Parts: sequence; C-alpha cells; structure tokens
Amino acid sequence: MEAARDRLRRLLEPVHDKAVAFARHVSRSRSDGDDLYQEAVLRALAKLDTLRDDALFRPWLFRVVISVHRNRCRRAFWRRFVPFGDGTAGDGSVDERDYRSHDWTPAAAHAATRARAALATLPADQREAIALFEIEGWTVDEIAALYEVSASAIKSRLSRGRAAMRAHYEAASNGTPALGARVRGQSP
Amino acid sequence: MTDDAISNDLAVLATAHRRSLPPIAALRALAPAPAATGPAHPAVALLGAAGAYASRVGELASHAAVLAGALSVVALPWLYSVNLEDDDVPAWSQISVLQLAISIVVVALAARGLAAAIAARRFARAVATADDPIAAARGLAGRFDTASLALAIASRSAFAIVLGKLLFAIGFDARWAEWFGRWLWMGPIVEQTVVDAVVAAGAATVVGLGLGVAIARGRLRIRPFAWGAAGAALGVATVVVGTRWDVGTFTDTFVSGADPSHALRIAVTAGGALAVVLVATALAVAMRRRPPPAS
Repeated sequence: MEAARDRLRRLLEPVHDKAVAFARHVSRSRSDGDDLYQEAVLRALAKLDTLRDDALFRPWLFRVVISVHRNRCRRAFWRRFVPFGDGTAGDGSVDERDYRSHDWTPAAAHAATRARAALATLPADQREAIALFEIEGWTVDEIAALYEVSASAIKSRLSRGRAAMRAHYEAASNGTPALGARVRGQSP
Repeated sequence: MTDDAISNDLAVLATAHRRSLPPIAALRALAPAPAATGPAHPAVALLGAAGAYASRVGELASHAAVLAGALSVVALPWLYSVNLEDDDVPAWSQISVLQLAISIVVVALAARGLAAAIAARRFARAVATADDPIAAARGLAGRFDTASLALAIASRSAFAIVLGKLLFAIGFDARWAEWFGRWLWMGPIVEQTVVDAVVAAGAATVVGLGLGVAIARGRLRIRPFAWGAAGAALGVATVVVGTRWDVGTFTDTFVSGADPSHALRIAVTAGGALAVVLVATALAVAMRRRPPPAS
C-alpha cells in the first residue's frame, strides 16, 4: 500500500490542481468539490493497480472523478427525501462566500457565482462537458476519448449545456428562474 | 450578448479555485499509512472487520427477505386456499387479507433492513479505510458477493413478475371490480393469478439465481442494451405464443389436475421469466452503470 501511495503521489503531482478544480466545478460548492476529490483519490488509490500505463493517468483519474461524481449525483437524488432539517437537502443554490477572498473584486465573485449557479442547473453529463471544455480547456476529441463516445455526442452535450445556461442567464436577467433550475437544480 | 457573458463568467470561474487549491499533502489517500507508526489497535481492526461482515450478512438477509416477501404475497394465500377443504368465504377472506398484510410488513421490513445494511456498510468502510482491516474485511465480505448478487437479481425479478401479474389481473382483465370481489371470496381469477404468479416467480428465481451466479463468476457480461432488447423480444414472443395458441394456465395443472400436456406452457412461462429477468437486470445495470469506466 505504501508503494501504491508513492506511485499515486508521483502521478498526481502534475494533474492535482486541474483535477481538484474540475471536481469543484462540477460540484455545488467548494467543500462538496473537495469532498468529491478526496473520495475520488481514495478510489484511485484502491484501483491504482489496474492502471497499466502511467502515461494514461490523467484521463484515468478524470474518469474516476466523473464516476464518483455520478455516484454522488445518484445519492443526492435520494437525499432529497431525507429531511435533515438543517437546509442541507440541496436546493441548487451557490454560496457566494466561496468566491470572496481578499484579492477578489465583488464583480468577479458575482460572475463566478452566476456561472456556477447556471452550471448547477445542468444535468451531470452536460455540466462535466462544459467544465472540461470551457473551463479546463480540453478539446472535444480529448473529452470524447475520456467518455469513450463520439465527438458529435460531446458537441451535442456542449450545445445543449450552452443553451440551458443561456436560458438560465436570460431568465435570471428577467427575474424569473429558468425551467431547468426549477426542475433539476440539483448537484451534489 | 448572453453568450459573451457566459464565456466571460466561465473564464472568471476558471481562475476562481486556482487561488485556494488544497495542497496535495492534504489528501487522505496520501496520508502516511498507520503501519508506519505502528500496527492498528486490535479493537479497531476487529470492529472494522466485524462491521463489514455484519453489513454483508444484513444485506444478504435483506435480499432474501425481499424475495420471501414477494413470494409470500402469492404463495401463502394459495397454500391456505389449498389447505382449506372448501373455499369458505369468511375464513378465506380473513386469511388472505391477513397474509397480504404480513407480506407487506415483511417487504417493508426488508427495505428497512437493506437501508440499515447500507448504513452499516458505510460505517464499516469508514472504520476500515482508516486501518489495516480493509483487506481482512474485504476477504470476509467477498464470500457473500456471489450469493448477494444472485439473490438481488432473483428478488427483483420475482417482485416484477408478482406486480405484473397483479396489475394484469386488476387492469388488463378489465374486471377489476369483480376481481376485488373475488379476492375476498377467492374466485377463480385470483386463484389463477396466484398460481401463475407463484410458478412464474419461481421460474424467475431459478433463472435469476443461475444468471447471478454466472455473472458473479465472470462467465457472463451484462450488456444492458443487448439484454434489454433480447428480453423485450422474448417477452413479445412469449405473449404472442401464449395468446395465439392458448397455452392455458398452471391452475389447470396444479389445481384442477387437468390438461397434462403442459410442455408448451412451461416453455412460455420459462421464456417469460427469462424475459423479465433480462429486462430487469438490463434496467438495473443501465441505471446503476457508471458511464465512464474507472479503469
């Protein structure tokens, strides 16, 4: 196990920042994203012996993150029916305090919050595609290879995700919540 | 205009987290192993192993309870009806409703047991991941995987068939009022439904157990689309055969004792059970499937 930890640490060093940022982007809050990433790295450690080629570590790790994210989305669905009574059941809202720090302008914090609120209304597959393509800078072909689907399928997800975000922005500017936000609005 | 705003906001978001990323050393998976500072406390190791063991047993028991509950919905009233010399109205009415209530309670308890088992497993995992017993716990729990998977498939299939038969009796016969009346009075419709459901659920149990064991041993690979399509085609075929040639019901064989030539009926029931198992398994796997494989 110790050798596996060393190997994971060595492989993780170059992609750690990108992976944890991606986990945060597809999650509802910074803490949820960090929790998702911790769980994904634990799973990666348990399955590290199945990775034969170290050169493929980056897509492999992102697949693990996505897999854990999908599991958490499913668990989040059932959590809606559990009355915690402390407001943690998940209303899709985004805490602007996540983006307030000493070197952030209020306008930047507001922009980031607005983008995350729109992202939170998307289904998991579209949210992941938008995060990888628009935020992390992956190419369509790279994302298609990650999911093992065609490039046109990824383009379709991106297009639908963009359209949903556009609807959310326009609805927000009109002062009414977008349909997607009312119907879905859930992410772990 | 809106697209520009979205692009701008996403660009801002791209830089948002990079200022406050946790260091790689903060990852739990990379924390120094407990072995480096000494072996785990025996009590912790024992607790982790026992928790995983108990949760697996609980999960297995809950699957078995669901299966028993599903079968009891149809089996127990039928057994009582056989044991009664004549279908005396008040006795059967009381017994059937009582058994139905018991069955519902059994299924509800099984659901609760499953939830408790899941909670126990999470607890066990939380304890086990912190220490050495993870390997021991996995070794203990692994023994139950095969039986648990097989029972899970069988119980879901049996449930689907029982519900399907009841829905068929209520809705598709278009005689639901009469059906309810005869449910209390044990008329032939209920009797036929009960017997057929018992046989079909039994067939599904056998098929499900066989498939479950094969899957658990790695001899079969679940392909949801292919399995679902095959199950749907088989289901249509059995319905066509069953209605076109009027294969009758198992009531004729097991209750009336008539019509001994029931080979086609058995084939249709087995085919229908296999169709339900295939579709149920395909649906369950498709819903649980993780789109990107982890390795």
